[in-house]
Amino acid sequence: MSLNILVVDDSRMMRTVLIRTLHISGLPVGEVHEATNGQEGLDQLAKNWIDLALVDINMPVMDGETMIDHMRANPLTKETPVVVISTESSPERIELLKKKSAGFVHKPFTPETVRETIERVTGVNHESGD
Amino acid sequence: MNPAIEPALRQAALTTFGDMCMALPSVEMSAEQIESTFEAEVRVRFHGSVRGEVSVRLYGTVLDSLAQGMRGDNELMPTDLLRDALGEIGNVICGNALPLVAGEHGQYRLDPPRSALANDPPLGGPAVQTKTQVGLDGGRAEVGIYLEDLK
Repeated sequence: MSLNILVVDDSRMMRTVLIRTLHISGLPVGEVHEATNGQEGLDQLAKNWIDLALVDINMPVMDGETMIDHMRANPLTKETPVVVISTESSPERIELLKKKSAGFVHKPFTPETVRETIERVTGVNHESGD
Repeated sequence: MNPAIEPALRQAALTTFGDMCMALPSVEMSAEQIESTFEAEVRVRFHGSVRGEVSVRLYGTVLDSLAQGMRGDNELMPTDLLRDALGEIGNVICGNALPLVAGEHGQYRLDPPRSALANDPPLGGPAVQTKTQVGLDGGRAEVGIYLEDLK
């Protein structure tokens, strides 16, 4: 099964890096949708079937934490797996994000870290694309 | 000055340039790298248990190859994308250096990256600056941190 993935980050370059990393990781990537802030991310979730959201924290308009709160309050997206991709290092804030059922990947990241975290939050061990 | 700050900055720079930009940063530099001229700078301001800003100043011609390393291709990029790449480099170096500077339980928030000119004063006024340098293919990067609470 391919994963339809939503990438939410205000940096175009970071979205590109992340999408490239997803392809390198060997994960079965289906459609990839992009959004530049949390509000756009919610709009994309309303329009598309998304299996996984990769979300930055510090963004204009709506930050990643608020977006996750909205997702968890919506019956249609409350169980959609989320991985936060951020420079955040505070153990307290990372723990808070994990309580919102989100995985966490620290920037800079490797394909292996991204893959392991996605496999953990989606609960599926994907076959390598090699 | 806290003697741990300079190694923290250097480690954050080496990790970011190596893992995110696929570059081979070095602590040792050639005379050519040391004498290279200013190319671009980004600043990232932070607030919280520590306050100040991180600067990433590039010398020589390194930004194109750093951005290409991030994207994984050899295409030339428009200026706005190069600026975006440099902003993300600054953001990641800042986010990785601060826990080493402020302690792992430090609480802070980062402002969006902003372009700067060499030797622009920090927005928060006088501050103690610590800096380090790493060599890059085609030049070098000077990474500095201004800590206002220490002034």
